[in-house]
Amino acid sequence: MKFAICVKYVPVSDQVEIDPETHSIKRGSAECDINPCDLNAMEMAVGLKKATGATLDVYTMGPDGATAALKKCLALGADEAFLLSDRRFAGGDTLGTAKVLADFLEKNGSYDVIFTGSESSDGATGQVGPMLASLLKMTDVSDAVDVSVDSEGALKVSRKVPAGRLSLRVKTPVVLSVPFGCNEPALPTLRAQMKANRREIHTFTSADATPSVLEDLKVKSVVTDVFPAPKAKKAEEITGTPEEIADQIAALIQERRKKDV
Amino acid sequence: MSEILVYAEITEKGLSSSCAELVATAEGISKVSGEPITILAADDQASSYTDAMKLAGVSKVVLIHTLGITYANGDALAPVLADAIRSLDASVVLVPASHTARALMSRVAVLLDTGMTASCFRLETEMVDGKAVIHQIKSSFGSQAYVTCDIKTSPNIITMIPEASEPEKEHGEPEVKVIEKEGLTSAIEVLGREEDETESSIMGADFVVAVGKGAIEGDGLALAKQYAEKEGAALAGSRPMADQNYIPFETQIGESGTVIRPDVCLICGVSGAIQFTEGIKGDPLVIAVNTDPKAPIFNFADYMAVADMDTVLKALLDK
Ligand SMILES: Cc1cc2nc3c(=O)[nH]c(=O)nc-3n(C[C@H](O)[C@H](O)[C@H](O)COP(=O)(O)OP(=O)(O)OC[C@H]3O[C@@H](n4cnc5c(N)ncnc54)[C@H](O)[C@@H]3O)c2cc1C
Ligand SMILES: Nc1ncnc2c1ncn2[C@@H]1O[C@H](COP(=O)(O)O)[C@@H](O)[C@H]1O
Repeated sequence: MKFAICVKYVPVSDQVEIDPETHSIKRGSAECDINPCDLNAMEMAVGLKKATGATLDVYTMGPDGATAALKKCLALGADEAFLLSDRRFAGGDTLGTAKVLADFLEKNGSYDVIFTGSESSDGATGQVGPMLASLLKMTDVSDAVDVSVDSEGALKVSRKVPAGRLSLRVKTPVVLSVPFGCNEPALPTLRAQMKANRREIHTFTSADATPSVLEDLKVKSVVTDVFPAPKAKKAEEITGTPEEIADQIAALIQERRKKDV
Repeated sequence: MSEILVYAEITEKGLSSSCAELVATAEGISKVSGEPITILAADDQASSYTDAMKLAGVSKVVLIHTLGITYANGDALAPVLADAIRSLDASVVLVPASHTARALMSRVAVLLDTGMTASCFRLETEMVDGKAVIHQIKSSFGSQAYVTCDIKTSPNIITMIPEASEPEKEHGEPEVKVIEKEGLTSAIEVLGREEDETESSIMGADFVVAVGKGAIEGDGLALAKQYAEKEGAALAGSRPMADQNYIPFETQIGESGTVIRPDVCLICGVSGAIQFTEGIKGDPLVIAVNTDPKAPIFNFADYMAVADMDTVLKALLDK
């Protein structure tokens, strides 16, 4: 089987600066790393790779610096790494991102399973995974928290839903979007990382993309304004010694809970 | 004339409570654009919810009865929805920002080749050259700021996070149209469902104690746990607490976590980022304890104590 994973290179801290002109994150103002739940996706992908003997390719669309995220994945067990980097790819919305990723995934052959994170820590749309699936005419399972293969080669997937889990049997090809916290991602060993750092990264630009995809990258949603969040209200202050504060808090809570009974 | 569509999500938990709320949001658009409002639902059990969708202000309810196919079969449901949206000539589709609906609608956005915004909480509609433009407002990454987004393609697919309080909606008499869809196939087979006790308990709790990074240094977390236990409250927390494994992921409150609707919420050591406060809905009594008098959580709380959470919790436990 052939697996792929898409990872995003995101600012680590959320204390980043927003450019008031372009309304996008000031690159260079922030330290970046691989998106947290993409590591959960990586953990799941490596687990399934071990169980099936599949190959695993890792993709990212982003600036040259995003190579760091690819190298981390190589160190964790990915086989080949692909960087899609071009000014014409950047600044797009989720559909544009998904179209670029889908274009190169399709060019490199048919994958049985593509892993993504459930949402990026900066964009948090959760759209790219299911969009990729739809573009590649694959099915998708979002919030996949566990996966295994059954005897007939179909996947058994556990999907997190509000207040519960669905147990699913899914035919490949499929895109699995993996949420934060569903497993304990391994960290690369120093040796594996050093080795990965010397590996070649396959780099592609807009010159390698399908022309019709490029024409189609017109941004469909644009940010038109950024403004400070209004101060909603000002709380009433409770003061005194810790004991006095505790007394007042307890009284407030008791009063409210009595009212609701 | 084009229409404003409200996507009524149906899961095994029934019809999403967001339906009435999204209708209220749609009325805001309709007031400016003059377009009628249609509710669209597609599910194996769609017709069971007809009455709940007969809301004032709605001109039409379109129920697609998809035999054997539910929200869990996104591959089969998305094309059905895309066809319906196309034939209804929707200018905008309002969608609850649940993980399940956003995944499904992401597929629909591809099929309709249109833009989609995520987790908006307010819309402002204005007429520009005879056309309604919907400015979509959402919180922005990493700052106490909001951004406004416009979608340049039609229909606009907009996912909305729930409002503070659900509107009481009166009954109406919209036209109801039921469409039968048989023979749909999906690559996904649902084998079963398991309940998650931890998550259901915080979603249903009427008293929640929420902790943030301020609970890490001292004994804050242990004290908050003890206090929650003593009071029969549920313990929840901010994203960094879940990220760093101090609390189960299911108990993370916020935009990318769980939305709670308690009666009382005691919040300790949380700075109060919008992404956190968006997870607390309804009209609870909110009391916040934080050492920083300028913490934004104090703009959200009803009562504030500028104090060390450890000492306050100790005093509460000693009572
Ligand atoms: C796209 C996106 C989605 C996000 N989704 C979520 C989400 O769903 N949920 C969420 O919570 N966050 C979310 N975040 C993160 C959010 O922006 C904040 O970073 C996070 O909520 C901060 O957590 P915190 O308040 O625990 O930590 P901090 O911001 O570090 O605040 C800690 C607070 O504790 C106080 N403190 C320290 N010591 C004490 C003490 N002894 N006693 C009392 N107070 C003390 C400090 O004064 C400070 O105010 C998201 C961010 C993004 C960009
Ligand atoms: N630029 C990108 N390159 C590779 N993968 C991406 C990119 N953007 C998003 N993804 C994938 O899509 C997931 C969801 O991201 P988002 O839709 O932005 O919330 C991420 O966790 C990644 O796995």
